[in-house]
Amino acid sequence: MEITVKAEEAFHVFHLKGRLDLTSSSELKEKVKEHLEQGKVNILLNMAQVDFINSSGLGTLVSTLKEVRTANGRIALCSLAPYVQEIFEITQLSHIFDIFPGEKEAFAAFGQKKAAHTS
Amino acid sequence: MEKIDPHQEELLVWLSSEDFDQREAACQQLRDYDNDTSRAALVAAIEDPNKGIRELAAEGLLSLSGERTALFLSDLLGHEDISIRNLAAETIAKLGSCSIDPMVEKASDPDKDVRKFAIDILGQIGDTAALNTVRKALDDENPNVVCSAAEALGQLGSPEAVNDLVKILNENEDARLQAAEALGKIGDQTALDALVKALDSDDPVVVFSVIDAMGNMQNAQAGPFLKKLLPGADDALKEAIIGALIKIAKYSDRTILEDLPVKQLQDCLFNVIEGDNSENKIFALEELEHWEGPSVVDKILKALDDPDEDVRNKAKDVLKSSAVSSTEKISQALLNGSDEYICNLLETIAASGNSRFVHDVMKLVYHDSPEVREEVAWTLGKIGDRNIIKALFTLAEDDVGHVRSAAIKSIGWVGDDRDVDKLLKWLDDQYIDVREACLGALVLIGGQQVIDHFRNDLNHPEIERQKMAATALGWIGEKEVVEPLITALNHPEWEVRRSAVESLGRIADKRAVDPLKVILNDDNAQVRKSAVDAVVSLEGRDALNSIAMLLEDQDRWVRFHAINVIGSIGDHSVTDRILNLLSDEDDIIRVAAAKALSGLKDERSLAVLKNIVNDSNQDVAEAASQALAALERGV
Repeated sequence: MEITVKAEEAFHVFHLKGRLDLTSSSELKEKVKEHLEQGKVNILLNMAQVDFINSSGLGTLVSTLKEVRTANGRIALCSLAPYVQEIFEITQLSHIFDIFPGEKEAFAAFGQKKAAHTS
Repeated sequence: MEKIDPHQEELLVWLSSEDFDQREAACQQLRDYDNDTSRAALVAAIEDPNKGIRELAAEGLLSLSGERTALFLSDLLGHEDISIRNLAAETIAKLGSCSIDPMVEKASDPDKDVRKFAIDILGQIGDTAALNTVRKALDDENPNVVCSAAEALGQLGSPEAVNDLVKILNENEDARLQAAEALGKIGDQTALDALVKALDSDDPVVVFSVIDAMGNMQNAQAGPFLKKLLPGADDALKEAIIGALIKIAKYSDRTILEDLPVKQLQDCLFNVIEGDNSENKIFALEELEHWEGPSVVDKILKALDDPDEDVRNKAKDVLKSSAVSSTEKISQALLNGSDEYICNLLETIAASGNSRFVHDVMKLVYHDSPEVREEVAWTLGKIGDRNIIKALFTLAEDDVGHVRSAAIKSIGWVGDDRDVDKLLKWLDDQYIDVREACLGALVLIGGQQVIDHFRNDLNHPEIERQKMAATALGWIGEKEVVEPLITALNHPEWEVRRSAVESLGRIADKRAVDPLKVILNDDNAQVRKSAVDAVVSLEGRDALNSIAMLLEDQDRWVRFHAINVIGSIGDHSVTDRILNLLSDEDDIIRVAAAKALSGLKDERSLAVLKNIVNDSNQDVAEAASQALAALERGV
């Protein structure tokens, strides 16, 4: 799997290409971990070019979600291919991930947070 | 002289009866006679001693045509009984623009109270056709009429009246408040200087009115003038100023709120949330999204119970970001709310993913409402803490199917190998939703134990379970599932073979290429059709030679599918075979062949397609024409 990362708007966008399975999962986990350690905690996974995902790949996404949350960050997915969408429905992962049709929609939904006042 | 219908004549008699029912019936039926006799009778009934009859008479008058009715009613504006005057005025206003002429006339009545009513009504009608009459009333000798005129000009909303109102604001002590209010309603920016000047008034009531008007103008330029008043202002004045700034912020510039005293701003936002205007409430909630603290959360929690759905949804959204720091308030609210309220709250907790609420949420596992229990299941899954797995298994035993289903889906997100044994029994649940939830959870957990289970299920006594196993193995998609799926290609049940074919196509492991090519010859047409897709998924363009034989398949739908797939691959090596199909006796095959030829983009097709553009079958002729057009553009 090829993973390229770009910093855009409020997110670091991970462009994933190829198969997300046992072999490629560790690479994704490693890249996410590196980012979290550097304080880059808002991550958008662009899945447009993921043509296969299996149990291991799904498990990796779930554990990534937990790690990002622990780091007080946000994770969202966008541009799911129909096949990936189908498996997200089967496993109901669409309930626990924020999923957007494209990057623009994800930026619009998450990019406009301001600092909090304390009363 | 109007000719009166005998029944109408009878109704007139009833109207004078002492019997309430007769008078009531008369009011109801006189409206069917749209004439002056009915108008006069119903206007007389407005003076009836019984309130119900008076109201019925007013309703009846509203259903008669307008201007004449207003004219008849206008005589009551000088009535000695205030309740009758008010009812007449209210009815005239409801008649709308057709009352303007009679009221313009009454605006010059010698009676000051009638003039005042006339101006009030013209303001309520809100039609600028009355503008000059109302402006003229600003010069009336009676101060009450002037006040009404200033107020009415605000209702008419015409900027043409701004100079007149500024004059009143500066010079007329009696009508200054109404003038300020009207200027705020009109919202014309040229009045800003006059309003700013009026802020220096010694009369606090005028100052409050002007502040309110400046807020209503929604002009950011008013902000600095209002803020200048804050130092030294008492609490009530501060509240008015900040209230006005909130109105300005809502429509022009939100940053105007940034340097305001925190406590007062917060109180004002709270007041807005307690108010009646949903749009303002949503704005206040949006502002509070950037605040923290128990009192903020308290207000947002209250808004979760708002009668307006948009406000409730906004409160939910806002709470999602506030929930992190308000554990105690939310814990209390979870125990005391209505079912819908608790569900809304659980949804926000789930969205925050904050495990701090786990214990509070788990207390609701045995809640009376299945809707709450279902939401508890979702919430626990979304929080995703391993400690809640026991609670989820409790919910998975619930009597209600959709609670079980939610719990099992959540177990899929949170669970691991340790939970597989316990999960398997729900594959036999009576509800399909629960069985599918279980399948999804097992796919998500994956691992050798799950694979072994589904491998065994390929030989389950029930065909449904065999099919489910073949599908599940495909979704699991690990290398270990490929061999069992290849074995399943020889399964005696065609539906299981088809599921295995689809799964192998999805996994696209090269070990499956040869077995899938063999199954292109399967006895069952559905299996052969799925095999076409699977082989193409594995080999792409290289699959062409293997699947081309299905162009001559005995089953029309297999042939149809093969033509479509080959057309989408777009390789010239099969052009001749597709061209032959243009003379197939089956219309559907000829249509598919024509469409496929447009994808192949081979110029040899042009001549043959031209021959069939006039085919006796309209669909074939149309497909040929479209293919020709596409080829002529593309070749």
